[in-house]
Amino acid sequence: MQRRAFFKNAFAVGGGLSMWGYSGLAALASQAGPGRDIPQAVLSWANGQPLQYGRVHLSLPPLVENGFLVRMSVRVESPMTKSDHVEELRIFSELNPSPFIANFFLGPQLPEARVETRIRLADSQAVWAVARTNTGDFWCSYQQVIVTLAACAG
Amino acid sequence: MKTLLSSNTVQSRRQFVVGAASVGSGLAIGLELPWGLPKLSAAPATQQVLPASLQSSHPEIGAWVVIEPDDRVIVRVVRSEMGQGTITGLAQLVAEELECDWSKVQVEYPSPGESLRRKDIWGSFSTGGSRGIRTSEDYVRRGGAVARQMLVQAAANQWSVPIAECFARTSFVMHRPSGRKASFGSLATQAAQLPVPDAKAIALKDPKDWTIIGKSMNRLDSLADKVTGAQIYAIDLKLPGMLTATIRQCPVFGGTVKSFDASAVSGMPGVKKVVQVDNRSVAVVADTYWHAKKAIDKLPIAWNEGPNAKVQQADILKSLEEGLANKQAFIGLQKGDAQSALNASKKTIEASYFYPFLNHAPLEPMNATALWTSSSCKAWVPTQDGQASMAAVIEASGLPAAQCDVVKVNLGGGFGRRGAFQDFTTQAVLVAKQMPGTPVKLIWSREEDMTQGRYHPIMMAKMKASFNENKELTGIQMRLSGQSILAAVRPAIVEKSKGMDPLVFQGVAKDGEHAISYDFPNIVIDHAMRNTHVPPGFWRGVNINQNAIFMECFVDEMAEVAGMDPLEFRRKYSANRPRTLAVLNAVAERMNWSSKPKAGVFRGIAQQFSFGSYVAAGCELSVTGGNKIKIHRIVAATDPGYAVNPAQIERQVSGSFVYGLSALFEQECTVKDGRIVQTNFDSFGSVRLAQMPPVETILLQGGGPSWGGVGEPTIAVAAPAVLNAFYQATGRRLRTVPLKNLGVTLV
Repeated sequence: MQRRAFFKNAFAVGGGLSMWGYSGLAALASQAGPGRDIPQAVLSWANGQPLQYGRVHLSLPPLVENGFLVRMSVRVESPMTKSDHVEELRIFSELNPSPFIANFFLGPQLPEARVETRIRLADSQAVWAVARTNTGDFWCSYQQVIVTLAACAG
Repeated sequence: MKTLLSSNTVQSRRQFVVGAASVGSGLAIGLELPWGLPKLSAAPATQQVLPASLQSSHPEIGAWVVIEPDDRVIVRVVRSEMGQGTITGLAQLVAEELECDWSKVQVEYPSPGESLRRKDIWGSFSTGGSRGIRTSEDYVRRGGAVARQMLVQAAANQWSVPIAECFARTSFVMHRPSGRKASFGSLATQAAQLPVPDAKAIALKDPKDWTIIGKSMNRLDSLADKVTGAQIYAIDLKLPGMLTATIRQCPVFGGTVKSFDASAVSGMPGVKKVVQVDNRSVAVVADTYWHAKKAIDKLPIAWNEGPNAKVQQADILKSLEEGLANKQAFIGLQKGDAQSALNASKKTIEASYFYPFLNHAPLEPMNATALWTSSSCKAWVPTQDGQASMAAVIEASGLPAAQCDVVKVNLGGGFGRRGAFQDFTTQAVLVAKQMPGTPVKLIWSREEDMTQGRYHPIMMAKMKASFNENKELTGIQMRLSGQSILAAVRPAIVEKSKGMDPLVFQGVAKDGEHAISYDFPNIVIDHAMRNTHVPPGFWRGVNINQNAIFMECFVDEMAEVAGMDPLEFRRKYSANRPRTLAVLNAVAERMNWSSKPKAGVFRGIAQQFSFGSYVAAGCELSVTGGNKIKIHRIVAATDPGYAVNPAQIERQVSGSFVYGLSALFEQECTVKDGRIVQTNFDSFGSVRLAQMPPVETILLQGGGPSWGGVGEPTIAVAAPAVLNAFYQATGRRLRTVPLKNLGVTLV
């Protein structure tokens, strides 16, 4: 409850239009909003810094057969300039044996903050993508994925 | 041409009607709607005269129920019907809470795509693990209750009376004080517009008040069509312009395609295209299956067979035998100190057992049909899990999920092959992707089906027991050695369990829905995981098949040393387990166990707890010539907690014994040069009608908070009952399956 409350507060405080940017609200509308407990691994990484929901666009198939190979792409809204860019992007799992799926280090030498890879998922769960900017802000998003095999052997 | 699909959604029916109007005679796919719904012919859509009910709107009352103005009740079912009767049972659960007239009930499959669009509204489509009823009973009953409440509310609103004065019975809502009543059909449109109440806040009926659950309602799917051959299975599906493909996969698991010469067959009759499907398979697309099959038989394919081509059956057996003696193993159950008990004992016994690889071998081989364009992909799949098929289609098509869908088509047997493993669906889409705009049906040959399975894991067991001077059991060791399914298909569970596969202990587990049902003193059960290159899968009953033989045959061996009747021995060690005792006693009573059987007839008994159900079986058999078994009867007791459709459960139990006895007597898959030897039913037999004994089923309902499964639990108990009876008849312990390898046959 505490984590959820924290998230709600962050949302309320950061919810001003200026904070979300031009497409922040659109991003919110298109994805499941906060209201889900943030995984401990994400909180640990943020280390007390407020997590803001948005700017991160996480794309995963909503259904996967066995989770052995899941295509994932993440794009973060950022001008990727020297003064305003994403420094690090981390992918977290709620239910894999290890919550840490991937770390990407980015910088202003990149034209955009966008990565694509394949990941493994142990079970139906939400995958979280969290971006840290050079200014120390944390932006995040999550997506729910159903791993159908889970129903057979669980 | 007449085509029948066994699934469609209300939405897709609407879409079909809309599409028919706008597209005209474009893709005139004929539909016959499932189970008694009005049928559409395959005539060009513009010429179709649609039944009025299909042109109207369809009042959806909550997610699970649609009620038509003519009072027909359409219940949504997402689990797959494959003969086990799940659609009837699930509809009974909904109808019970809905308070509808059962004679008006029909069912339909929502599509996995529709479920996804509606945020997984119908939950899991997986039809396996004996879970259809037991894991959805609560939410589907609530689905019925929600719809009832909405209908009652609609009536109360219409009559301007308090809802508390109204109630529903047999498809009517009644107003108690005035005696007014209104049919569900007349209320449906208004009810559909009401907000959907919170399902969890509605109290479900007390089981003692059930009038539909617990009754042997007739099946909602057509038995007549099955008997006459009119039923269309996925392999029979025909779509306009459809081509047929067949596939050849590298016969050695893990091998890949090196090269193939398409030109050698491209001029053969009917051949349209030769395509590489993935890195380990090639397909021929032709106008008919026969032409595709003739061409692929002639197609020169070179394989990179890889190191697995060196693997022989003897290598696998040697590895398992090593595992029986290895000091290291994963402990699944430990109580007391079995090793010390063994060391201290002067009387010990030991026995080794073996259970082979098995193929599911459904009568209908793997197949699927797919239509791919650059903007959409649709697949027609005989599937045990529509969502898994959908996942495969999304991945293989390369298209967004919203542009994909799956139509569930009747499947000619599943047994675990068509749920968790959607290789055939993926292949159908990958082939169709190379034929854009043309529907392609991919059919595996029987030989592909036999040699490209997901096999029941191979397993050995070494059982040891120790006794004191009073012949009392002091300790048991059970060492399993063999393949893990989960290590191959759900490694995350194995990793979570620190390398152990918890599923390998089904039926003898320390707790849960497969917990051991004896209280033995000093026991250890462990597993030396010896994985092979043969891909394992969930074969009906999964690991209870071998564990029931290992444990229940050894229980008889222990009873003999203890000088006790096998039934009494079992009762002694399950004395604190009333439901285990109840199934044992029910079987014993029906068989008149305490009396002597007729001369030449011998009895055996076995029991197990699995998939949340308590089961026991007894058999009476006679043996001639020392090796010809005639089973005179099998008596089976099963307690799944609650029985939704008793007649259907009885049929399931009988059917499970056909499958279980076939494995016991006839079936084995072996490995030579890395590939499976058995390619057809000539070498992978089945129990025939004349061999099949009569089965008497006793149904107990122990109730309780958890519901048990039906499809799998009993499959495992017939085999040890037969083996135990065979020992009584001959004094010979049979510890290796299948019995044909020991020269023992069923007559």
